[in-house]
Amino acid sequence: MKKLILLIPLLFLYFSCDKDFEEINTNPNAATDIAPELLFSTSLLQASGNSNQSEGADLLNVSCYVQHIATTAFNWQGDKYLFSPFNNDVLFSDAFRNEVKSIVAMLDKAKDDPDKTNLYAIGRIWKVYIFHRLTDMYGDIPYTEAGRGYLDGILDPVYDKQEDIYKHMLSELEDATKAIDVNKPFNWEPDFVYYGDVEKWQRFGHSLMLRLAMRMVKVDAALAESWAKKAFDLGLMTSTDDSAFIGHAWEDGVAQNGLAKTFETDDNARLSKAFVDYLKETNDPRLYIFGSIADTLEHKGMPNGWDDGMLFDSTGLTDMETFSRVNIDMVQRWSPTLFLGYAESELLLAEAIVRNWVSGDATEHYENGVRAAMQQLVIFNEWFIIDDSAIDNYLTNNPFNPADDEAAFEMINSQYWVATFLNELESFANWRRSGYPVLTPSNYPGNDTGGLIPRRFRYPQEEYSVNIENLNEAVSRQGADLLTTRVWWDL
Amino acid sequence: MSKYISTILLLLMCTYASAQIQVEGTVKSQSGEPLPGVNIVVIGTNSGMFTDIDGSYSMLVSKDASLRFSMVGYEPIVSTVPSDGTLHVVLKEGVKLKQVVVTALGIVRDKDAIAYAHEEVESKPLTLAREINLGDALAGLAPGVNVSDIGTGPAGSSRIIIRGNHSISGNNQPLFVVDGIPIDNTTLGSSNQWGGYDWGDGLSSLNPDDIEKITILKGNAAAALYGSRASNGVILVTTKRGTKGDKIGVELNSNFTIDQALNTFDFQREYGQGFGGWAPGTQDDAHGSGHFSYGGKLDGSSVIQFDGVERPYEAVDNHSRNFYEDGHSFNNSIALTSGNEQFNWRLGFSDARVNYIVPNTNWKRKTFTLSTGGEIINNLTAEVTTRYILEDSENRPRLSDSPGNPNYSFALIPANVPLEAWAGPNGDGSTEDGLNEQRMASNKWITNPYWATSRFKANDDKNRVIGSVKLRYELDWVYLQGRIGTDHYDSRRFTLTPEGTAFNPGGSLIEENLVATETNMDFILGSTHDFSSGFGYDVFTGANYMDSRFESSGLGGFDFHVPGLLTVQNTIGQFNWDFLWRRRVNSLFGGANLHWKNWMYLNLTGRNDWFSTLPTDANNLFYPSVGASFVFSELVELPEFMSYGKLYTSWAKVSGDVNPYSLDLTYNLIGQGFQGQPLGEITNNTIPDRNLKPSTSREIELGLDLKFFGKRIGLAVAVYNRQTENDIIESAVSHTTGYDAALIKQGAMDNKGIEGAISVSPIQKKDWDWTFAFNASKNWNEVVDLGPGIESIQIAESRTSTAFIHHEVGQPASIIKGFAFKRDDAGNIVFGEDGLPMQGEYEILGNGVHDFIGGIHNSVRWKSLSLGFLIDFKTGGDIYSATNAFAYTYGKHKETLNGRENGLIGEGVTETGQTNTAKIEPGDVLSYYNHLRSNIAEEFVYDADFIKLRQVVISYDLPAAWFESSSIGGITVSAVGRNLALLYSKVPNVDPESTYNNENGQGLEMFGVPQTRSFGFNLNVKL
Repeated sequence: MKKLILLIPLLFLYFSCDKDFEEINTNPNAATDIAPELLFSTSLLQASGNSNQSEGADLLNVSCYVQHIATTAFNWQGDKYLFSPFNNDVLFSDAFRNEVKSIVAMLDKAKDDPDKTNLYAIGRIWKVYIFHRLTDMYGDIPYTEAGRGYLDGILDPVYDKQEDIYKHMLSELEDATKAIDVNKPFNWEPDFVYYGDVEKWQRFGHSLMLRLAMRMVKVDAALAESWAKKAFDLGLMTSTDDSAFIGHAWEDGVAQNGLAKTFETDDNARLSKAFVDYLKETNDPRLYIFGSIADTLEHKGMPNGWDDGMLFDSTGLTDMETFSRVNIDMVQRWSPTLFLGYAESELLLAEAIVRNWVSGDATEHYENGVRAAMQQLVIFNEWFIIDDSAIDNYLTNNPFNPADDEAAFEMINSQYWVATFLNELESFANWRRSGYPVLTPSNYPGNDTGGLIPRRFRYPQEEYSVNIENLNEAVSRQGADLLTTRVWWDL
Repeated sequence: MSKYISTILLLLMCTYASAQIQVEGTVKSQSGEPLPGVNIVVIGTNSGMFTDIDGSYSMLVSKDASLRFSMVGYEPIVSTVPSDGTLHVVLKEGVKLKQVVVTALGIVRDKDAIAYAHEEVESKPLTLAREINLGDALAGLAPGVNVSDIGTGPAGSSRIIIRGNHSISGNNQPLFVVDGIPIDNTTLGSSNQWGGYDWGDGLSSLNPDDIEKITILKGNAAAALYGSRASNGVILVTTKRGTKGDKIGVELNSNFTIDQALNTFDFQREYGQGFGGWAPGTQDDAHGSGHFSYGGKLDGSSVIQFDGVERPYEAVDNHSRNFYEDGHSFNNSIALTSGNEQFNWRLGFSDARVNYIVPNTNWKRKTFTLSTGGEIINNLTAEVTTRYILEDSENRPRLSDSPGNPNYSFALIPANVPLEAWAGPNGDGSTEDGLNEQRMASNKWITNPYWATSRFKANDDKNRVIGSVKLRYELDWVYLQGRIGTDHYDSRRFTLTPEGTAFNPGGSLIEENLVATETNMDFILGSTHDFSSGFGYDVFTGANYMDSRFESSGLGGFDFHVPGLLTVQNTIGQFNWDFLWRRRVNSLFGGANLHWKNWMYLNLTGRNDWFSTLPTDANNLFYPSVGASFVFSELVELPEFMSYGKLYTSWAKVSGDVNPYSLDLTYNLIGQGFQGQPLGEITNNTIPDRNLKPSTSREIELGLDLKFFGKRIGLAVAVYNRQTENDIIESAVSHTTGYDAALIKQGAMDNKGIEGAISVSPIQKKDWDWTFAFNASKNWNEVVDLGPGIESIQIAESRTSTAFIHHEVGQPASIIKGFAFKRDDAGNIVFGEDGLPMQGEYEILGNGVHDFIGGIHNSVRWKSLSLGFLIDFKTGGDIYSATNAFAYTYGKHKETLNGRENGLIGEGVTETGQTNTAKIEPGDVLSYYNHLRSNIAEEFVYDADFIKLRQVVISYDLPAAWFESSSIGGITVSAVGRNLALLYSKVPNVDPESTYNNENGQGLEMFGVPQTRSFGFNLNVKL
């Protein structure tokens, strides 16, 4: 027994130590560091939108605002300009936690690495892409302080003015594309967009610069002009080979096309009457690619802002069966997401030429744009080929007249509207800044906008809960937090 | 004196057998004063009584009965019944029989010496009331103990909060200690605003029949010896052990309970499915109308439904009865026990089976317990306890949000749609071919309730071993005790979203393995002695080692290849994970308990913890406690009616740590990558922090225990003030930070409270007993500090995205915030030009936690028949009801009847101050009510005060004479009703206690399983 008592001091020593505690508190299933390329890859896929984001923002709301899609179903609130907090918030809450988080962390890791200057430059371009979608939808948003919760301990990021965000994004695009060294190798493997072709990244950066420049035509034409010129001078995309898109995969999660899940599980979407009518009027071969319908029927668009009762009252129809659906082969799980196509770049260039901001042949670039918009469909499905003669016919039958500015703007931006079908946020932004095509709002009883097409998303109600001071400052600057309030560039 | 004894001796010699005799007499003290409240027990039976205020008693006993007279402070006397039935007894004051309490670390202490509030719950109310969930069974029994009965299915988790929330975002639930060994009570997954399952917690493993006693240690002082995890209080469970006896004792208990859904819905039944005041005109229209009840007035006309069948447009009866079933539970247990001076043992087995009110949901539990104890060699005693528990649960119900939640869809069913239509041709919510969900609505996210209960699966089984070994060596004044205990379980889970589900046509499944192990080792070296001078001490020192591991690994797959083959291998897309959480705490502790005579007690403790989860340079903290109690009734002459008085006070400090891996940013790879490339992401959703320090809380407590008229009236009051500081808060932050939450280091929260209990026994007669007890507690909680510049943090969010739970400086914890109506200065609601009420400020709308709670317990005995009931109440809380909010959108709520015929004009003013005249047309009321749901949280915040008739128990001890000749020692039958009535509530349509998880964001509710009302029968046989 006495010997046992001698052990007691040893016991005390054993119980009072903190040996191995560091190891015990290390997560064995996670890494303490990671190559920035891996975060970059993730940010590319995340920016194409996950299924929550794409369903809530792109489809249920924006695709209806911009009258690509219409339905009588109530869960597609956007069709009737009804406000639904979750679907309105999801883009904001998801994007900052996913693509913004990834790209900010990636840039921080690549910033000071002399071997990764191209990765860093391309990351900066990609960050602009990520943020322009967000500010276009919400207006003033956290930008300089966003995604820095860990890096700088910023827990309540300041909302930057959209004007400042735009100016910064444009200069970032200039600096970043210039910082790319075309002679330096770039680890291509994680680059699911251009697979290491840094010159394509440069041209993407310049076409994105043009897109941002043209956003500002209403609010600051001079600024828009100078940046459009700069983009043109630096060198825009030159063919559909330059188009920025990302492929997708069958698997659930980040690799999948974000739009696919909605179409798999919700049969309510129909092509909008406005969209089908435009395609029909111009005898557009794309109608037969975008839409699907039983062989015996003719393509027919669904008017926006109807419920089942209104459908019955107006048509005697009891269901939406005879209206055109979205062709499922545009929105398969593996269908690509087009970020910015050569078609858009050319159409915007045509407008810049019409505005006399850059010199060139507006008709040529308009036609390049339309042609590219038809040819680029092949990325969705190898059978989606519109042959050259059909395109020529279309262009002949729908002649472009650069002499009449307004008519030219209308044609260009209507084409842009068609070319960005399924890139709904972009389609909506360009419609807001250009006013074309002229869309007739619906006025569903009790809608939340007083019968006006929404101009933005409201801030998530959660932001009122967690970041109210900065948010209030943004709201007081920008105007009431309503669907109808216009963002800075949207006068 | 000698006269009495000789009388007794004489009577002893004259006993002869006969049936029954009335025995009566008086019990006095040596000084000749009558003694009230002396406990008289008929040996070998359950019957007994107390003496009256004048020391007299009278009772009917069998002629050969022996009576035992006992009272605290006196030596007990056993006596046989004299033939003339007159038995006067004198009790000798002697070595006082002290009431003892099992306290922290299993140290048995004199009740007088305890300087903090504690509650003891004997096994009887637990075994009689027999809630499957032990936590729920504690509701209303003890002051300051707030138990939330959350409707999440059988063996769901429970929320027990003692003296208010202490930690701003950490765990606020108490530590459970079974026979000295802390057990794991991790909540194994719960639902949030996006739905999910309640996978239960550690309490469901305990069989109430094994429990001897539960002691609730409420304050910090009680907990100083258990370390940080005890800062929320400790619930000490003492289980039954072997008792001395020359034969093997047998106890059988059998219990059967029927559970019924308590239907709280009071929805409108005047208008049917449809939109704009019109019934659906076509099948497609009916399908599109789904759950919307904005159709026409129910007039009995023939109207088509989503399945193409025309049915009368009229309200269908008894929706709830048809969907929820009568649940039933059986719990049978048997225990064998025996023992002698050297060795004792108890072997118990129990079997519980529950069929729940939600179809196809059930739960089973088997427990095996073997406790042994004895003296191995001189002065060395050992106790070894082993418990093996098997739990098996099938189809836990999904909660909260609509996907897969049968309650959501069921609650919103339009009045005219019969459930048979939803059940479909196969009765399981499938289409005719049985392959797909029969969709009732175009909204794919609202799952057919029959499909949800028949085809969804959420099964789990759990194998659990709790074992402990305790050795104790005592020699003269010194003792040395060592103990090792481990709680280990593994659990397998299978979750299936079946193929053909509307929102997930390909289907998916998850197979998950959980393995949890917690090991505690401690030893104590102590010395104790009472000197003849009146001074006594107990000093001890010891150490503790706590190690816990929790591992989750799993495989998941989606989109099945071969229909019906439910394996991961049969899926097209697959994923897997493996997580391991580890935590270790090493501690040294010591203490001294000193007393002077039997009226002054002083206790001191100190403990130093080393936490593995904190940075190594700031991972340890010392914390002391001091307590004193003063039994003034022993020292000063008190008025005659006052028989006992104790005043106590204590001060204590406790520290705490954080979750593992909170210090560093880490990265992981996503799924299977893309195009052969790995995809990386940041693992943390909460911003990690390298500079964390242990949190601390301090509590000061003052209490008074009084007893009057013997033990007829008892009064206990305690006040406390607890300050938590340097609390590590997990606060929701703006998603624009890239994260969901951050750890904030200097949270501070105050809890001040008063709690009291009164018990009165107005009648203590031979045939009659009446005891009435009331307890209540009020807690004032205030969030003091949330970190520099932070005034408010969000901790939970409603699915409607309009209401949130916040902690806000200067407010109690868990306040409900959201958008109010916009009002003018006079308080009128402001309406826009469109006639819709405008959104006002984002403001405080209510308090998510009740702050005044209590219970009334009443028990009456007449001979062998006793009746008890328990009423409990909670006030001072509010609830944001998403069920009601969605009932607005879908037109089920009675409020939505306004305006259906003639339209409505909101009562209020326009922005310019004019009376609002903008009319909402009858066809547009949906937009009006939906606007309220999506913009105005205030409309759905309700006062959640309630009073419930929690339980009624009737029990009867069968007369011993019935089985005199058999070996049966006693039979008790009882009938129990639980949750019998909601006596007071202002919350429409839902139970005021509803919530969907046991976390800190209380005050939110959404489509839970209804509360159940139970009726049960219990049979207890002792051999």
